[in-house]
Amino acid sequence: MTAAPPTGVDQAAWASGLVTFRVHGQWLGVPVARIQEVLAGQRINPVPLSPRGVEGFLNLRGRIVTAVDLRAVLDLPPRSGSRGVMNVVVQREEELFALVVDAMGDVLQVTEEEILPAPSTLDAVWRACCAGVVRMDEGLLVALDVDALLGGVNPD
Amino acid sequence: MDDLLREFLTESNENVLRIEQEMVLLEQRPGDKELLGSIFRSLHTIKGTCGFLGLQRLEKVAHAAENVLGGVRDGALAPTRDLVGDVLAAVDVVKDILEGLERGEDDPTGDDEVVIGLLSRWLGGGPSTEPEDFDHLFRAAANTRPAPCEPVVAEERTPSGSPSLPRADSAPEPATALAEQTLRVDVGVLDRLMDLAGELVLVRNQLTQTGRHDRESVVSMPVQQLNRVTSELQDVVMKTRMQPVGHAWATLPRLVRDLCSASGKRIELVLRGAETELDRQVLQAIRDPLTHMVRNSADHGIESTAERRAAGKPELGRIVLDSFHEGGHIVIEIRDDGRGIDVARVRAKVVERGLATAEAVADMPDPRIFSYIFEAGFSTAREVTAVSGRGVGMDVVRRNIQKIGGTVEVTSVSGQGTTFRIRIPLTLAIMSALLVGVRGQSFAIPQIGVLELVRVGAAAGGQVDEVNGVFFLRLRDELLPLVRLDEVLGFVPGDTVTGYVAVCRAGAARFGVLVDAIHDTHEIVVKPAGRMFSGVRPYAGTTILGDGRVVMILDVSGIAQSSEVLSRSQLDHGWMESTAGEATEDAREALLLFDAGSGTPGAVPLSRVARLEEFPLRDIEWADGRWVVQYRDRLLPLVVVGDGSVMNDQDPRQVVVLFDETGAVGLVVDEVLDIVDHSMALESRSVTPGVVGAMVVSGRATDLLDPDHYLRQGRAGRSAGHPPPGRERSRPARTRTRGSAR
Repeated sequence: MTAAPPTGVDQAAWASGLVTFRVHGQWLGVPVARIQEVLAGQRINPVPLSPRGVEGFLNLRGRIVTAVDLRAVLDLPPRSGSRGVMNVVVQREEELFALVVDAMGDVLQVTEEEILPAPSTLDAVWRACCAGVVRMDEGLLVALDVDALLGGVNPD
Repeated sequence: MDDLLREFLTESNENVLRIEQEMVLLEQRPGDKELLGSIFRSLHTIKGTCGFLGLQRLEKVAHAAENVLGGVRDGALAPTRDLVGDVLAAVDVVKDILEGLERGEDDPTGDDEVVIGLLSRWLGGGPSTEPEDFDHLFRAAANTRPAPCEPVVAEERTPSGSPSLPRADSAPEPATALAEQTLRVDVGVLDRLMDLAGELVLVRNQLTQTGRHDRESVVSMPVQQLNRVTSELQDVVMKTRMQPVGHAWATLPRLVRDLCSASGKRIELVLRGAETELDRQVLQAIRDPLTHMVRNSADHGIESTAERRAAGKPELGRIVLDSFHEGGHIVIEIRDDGRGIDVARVRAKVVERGLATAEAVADMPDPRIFSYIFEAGFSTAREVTAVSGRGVGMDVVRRNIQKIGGTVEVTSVSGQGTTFRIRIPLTLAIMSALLVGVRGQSFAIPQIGVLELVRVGAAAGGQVDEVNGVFFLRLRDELLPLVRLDEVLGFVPGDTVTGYVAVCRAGAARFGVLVDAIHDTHEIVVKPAGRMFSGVRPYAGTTILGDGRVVMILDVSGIAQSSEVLSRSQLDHGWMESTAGEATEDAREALLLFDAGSGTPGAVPLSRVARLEEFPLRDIEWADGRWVVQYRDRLLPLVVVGDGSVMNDQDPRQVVVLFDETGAVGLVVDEVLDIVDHSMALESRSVTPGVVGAMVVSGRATDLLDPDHYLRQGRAGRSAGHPPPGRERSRPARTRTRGSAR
């Protein structure tokens, strides 16, 4: 299949590979270049009146990081317990965000041809932040457009 | 843009600013050789570097200006007003070119012939001389003390390394010329350094806590050492962010000079305490308000020379800027010896604009009257002359100062001058905060907003009353509205009111914030909460505590607003001001007394009354589900006290117009009785909506009404639950039953 890569995909960013992680059984990925670091077992301080999708703040060596609950953003059922939670730290416009996910996977090297456009049947919430999909042995991986994802989290 | 050019631009912008200041000084001190030397040096640096960078246009203009100054140095020319004006004109061209370069133009085009013509006129159009011999001036400048009022660090800078963050080196000290003692550092780097220092403090705290259990441990000594070093590091890092306040007023001498030239006034600008240091964030925030106030003083405060002569004052007007520390704050005073604010005119204006009644205004003390000049739109262009001009944008000035947690006051003596007094925090980055607990979570309240703490609950001292679902704290005969923090933060409020009340101040008003627990006070480093929280009102930022927890910093006035316990106007200058302001136990307030037909006279604070009106019954209409009357091209909703009716057999109807920031409402009464100055202490509290409580006024039981209740009612579009059945004009229902109460 010849894939004109979907819009919003930065070719250079994809070249370095995708860091993969799982949320509610679904594989997701973010280009390696976008990721600052991955943290485990961080204390997230909840904040009343947070916009939907914001779980609270965590302290990354003196910098404030906004924790974003991917389950809430992607309309998935809430997590039961906080066991095995991982934080994928990304930067957007000088601000740090931690994507709260269930578990980490490997770094996946993908070629341009392997990236498929987001299927039109995908739920609107998902399609808004999907940069493309990649077929893997374990199923489809949804590559996230981090900017669109975080841009969608707004104060109510 | 390459690094070389960027550095040239930053440096040249600083040089230009300095030249401007020094040219103005030179005009006043024509014989000052070292000043001239300094100007030469700055100009020559610009010229030299642009030759190097191939910026021919800039070089030509700078060169022409340098030639004229050469004439001054040789004694052939005197630095007259015209000459200084022409050199400043050349500086303006240089500024334009620099701006063009900053926008990315290679060598911005433009016509410099005019200004070069102006300059060469001084030299008789003759051949330009290259002023090379400025070395002796240079040395003279470097080794002498700068004049006291000369703003900031000019002398110590070397051509290649003028600092963006000079320290307190404006203190007159012999400078080691040409030594590289300063360094340009990106502000972002300093901010990050600050973060890291804060983080180090956290690690230190954790270590000392561990070390406490084992005093004999081998690490206890190094931990103590770490402790000291960390504290010192934090101090030093804080200092890197400090800048002399003189940076904020560097542009003022030129501003005043130009205003003088344009108006023919003579004004001396005295700058004192320029070395007082402030956090750069604060500094940036006050730059514009300061400029505005000085312009105001020069423009409207100081009279023309003729006027001053006639008033028996020296022709030379004075504007003094004074900056100093006062109790953890920086105070900046702007004093002029001009005509002062005309109190009578402001009073008239206040009445004319319907901000208060003539009676209220007459009773207000002068300081209260002056505070009206900070009202939005108080003085429009037309009114500038009417109220000595003060007021254009003064609301913006106050808002900007309040934004950084500062205050501004004005005092004025007619004929003698006006003083503005700005009080601002030293830094926004670090503040003292009170940690409070709500539902097991901690929040920080800036200490500056907290007046006192009161314990409330079953067995505790503070007494809490409820009026129609709104809670009040009774504190020394004062009734403070109470905000339940749990409710504000979206929790379901508990049944009982127990815990602690932090009595807070927002603007002029006071109110209580009910919390579950009071933990501790902390010095906190303020960090922005991030974009996702920009619209979330109760928060002012976040901070990281010693144990690593992230807590939210609460915005006290934001809380008051989001809880709607205080209306906006109360926050600004509401009726609680006088009860809160003077700190007297028996606070008094002017009350408007009226008979509302309910048997008991009613009272509202006069400060909330815009005016008293009479409307004939035929003008009162039923529209949009409420009684209204056409009033000043708008519809004024009418409401009544209690269960009375807007319409009865009285014609015309008397109406008390109440106001707040969002609008006005007409309170229909049977008769206005009196205006009295009375204590605000209540005899009893009421559960009736709209009634705060009862008090005895002039020997009669009187209901103190809550203006905001009626304003809300007016906005809600319901006329006290009395839809007009068939629009009955005369309702005998309960008219004039008050005879017995009389």
